[in-house]
Amino acid sequence: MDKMKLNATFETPEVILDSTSGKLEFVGRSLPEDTATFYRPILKWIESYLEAPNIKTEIEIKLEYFNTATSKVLLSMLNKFKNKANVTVHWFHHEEDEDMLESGKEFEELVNIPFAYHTLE
Amino acid sequence: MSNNKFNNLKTIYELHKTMEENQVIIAYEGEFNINTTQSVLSLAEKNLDQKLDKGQTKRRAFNIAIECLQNISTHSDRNDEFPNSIFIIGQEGNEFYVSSGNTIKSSKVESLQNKIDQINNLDNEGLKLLHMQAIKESLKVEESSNAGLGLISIARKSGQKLDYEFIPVDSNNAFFSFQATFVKPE
Repeated sequence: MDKMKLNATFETPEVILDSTSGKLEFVGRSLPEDTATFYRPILKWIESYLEAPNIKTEIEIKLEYFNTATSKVLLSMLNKFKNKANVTVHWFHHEEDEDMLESGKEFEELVNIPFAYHTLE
Repeated sequence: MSNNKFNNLKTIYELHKTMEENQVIIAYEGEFNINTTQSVLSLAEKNLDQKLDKGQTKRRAFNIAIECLQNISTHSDRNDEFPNSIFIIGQEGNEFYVSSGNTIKSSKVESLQNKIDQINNLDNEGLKLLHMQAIKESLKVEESSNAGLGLISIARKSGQKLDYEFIPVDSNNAFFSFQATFVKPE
């Protein structure tokens, strides 16, 4: 399976999806109005990955901003892993960014897979 | 006509004065689409970076700006007669405001008004629950119908009541003026 790498833009995050290590990273910001176009290939990659996932899957979410359209996609993306992989979501936030920490907790409650919280810098 | 030219020149000064009096940081009037939204957002971010220390306040302000702009481009009912919308960020002392104005169909006024009133009647905890409920609902419906989510998110970041007004522009359309404020901590 190919490794997928997308560079960050003003409104989309850097994305690195590596099936060999089982590490899926989202870094930066996700603000696109048209989330479908950006996330479609990512969701497709994840679906193939989940046919034979790594023993351990680590999803790292290091986002400084995301819009509500992205929150919908993130939720459906994380839902795909439920009962399909041994997955942990590593949710990063700036130390003083309580909002981002709270968002993580809300996602955790919504998808019900293990989350670990980390501060940036 | 020379008279027109005179009026236009005068308008420049009047607009300039009005913007100064209202401490406008950024204003954009025109057609909104994915490209213009991104340019306005980028400019808005540069201006917010100058006015606010990078940190929680700037992040909240920028989040409000994102949702507000995307609400305009996704939900306004543009037509040949009313193609334009307006987006403004301004400041009054420690209070910042993000405003938008766009035309919507009169038939949508009531449900939008109910949605905002519902949001305005909730405290933080209530907004959190409404957000969780709305995001779950939104997954069931394919595409769109995010408006609720964007408004809830704006209200949560703002921490203040959302201001709005609907002004009928003809029998089928209304102009929707919207404003979210937030206070820069001392």
